[in-house]
Amino acid sequence: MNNARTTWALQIVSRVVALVMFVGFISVPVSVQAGWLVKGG
Amino acid sequence: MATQLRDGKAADRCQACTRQENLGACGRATRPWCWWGTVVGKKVVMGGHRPGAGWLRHRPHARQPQDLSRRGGHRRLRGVPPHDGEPLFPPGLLLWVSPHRPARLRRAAHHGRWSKLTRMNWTARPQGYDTKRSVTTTYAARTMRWSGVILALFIVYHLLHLTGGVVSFQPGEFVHLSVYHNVVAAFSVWYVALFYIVAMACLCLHLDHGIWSLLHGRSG
Repeated sequence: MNNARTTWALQIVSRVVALVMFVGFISVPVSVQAGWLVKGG
Repeated sequence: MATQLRDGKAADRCQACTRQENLGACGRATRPWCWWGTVVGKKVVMGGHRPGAGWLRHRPHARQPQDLSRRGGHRRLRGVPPHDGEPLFPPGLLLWVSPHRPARLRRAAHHGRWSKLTRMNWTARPQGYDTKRSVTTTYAARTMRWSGVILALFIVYHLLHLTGGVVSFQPGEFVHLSVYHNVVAAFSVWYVALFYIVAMACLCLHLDHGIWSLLHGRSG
């Protein structure tokens, strides 16, 4: 996979995976702070 | 095969490409440890952390970790009527075994490779640059060590916080194995939520370069 043709694709894949994990993980504290997740809900 | 280098140190030489500076990078390494000893091999080992938040359910009455310790728990996931049997594992065991134990082993390997890579990097250029101007690198690549250190501290805090319940909780607020309750109670404090978001931003940067390096480093 290490060649000039796939370098840009690998960059995009790694960035997308990192962003998906970031959004997924911060969704929990953001939801709590936004009031979408409440105690006893 | 041991080879005498100019500085008098002996080092293994790749059997396939016979280039010391690209040991194993040719992708034709004849022995596994030839590739393992390379920077590329160490970076591949450093890749791979599984998210440990899979136990969180969004409602208190939903399945909690201790439910999985009951025989037939997987049937309920498929909609089969519940099967109440004897506990297959002691309550709470899977909470520690599944998400954390393998992750700890991976973190140990991860840290070991990080230490080795850092030493190799410093040994390669012991003196500093007079003028340093980044050309092709990225911010994520330049901050890998710092984001890694922050993440290591975050992991310790995370385990003490949401697994052990010994920090950032009022007395009696943490309920053992009540994941939903603990998560909501924890993130109700704004600075705790902010710290998690900052840590996840570091994780995003770390993964951005880490995954790219993992995939880009493989020859073929």
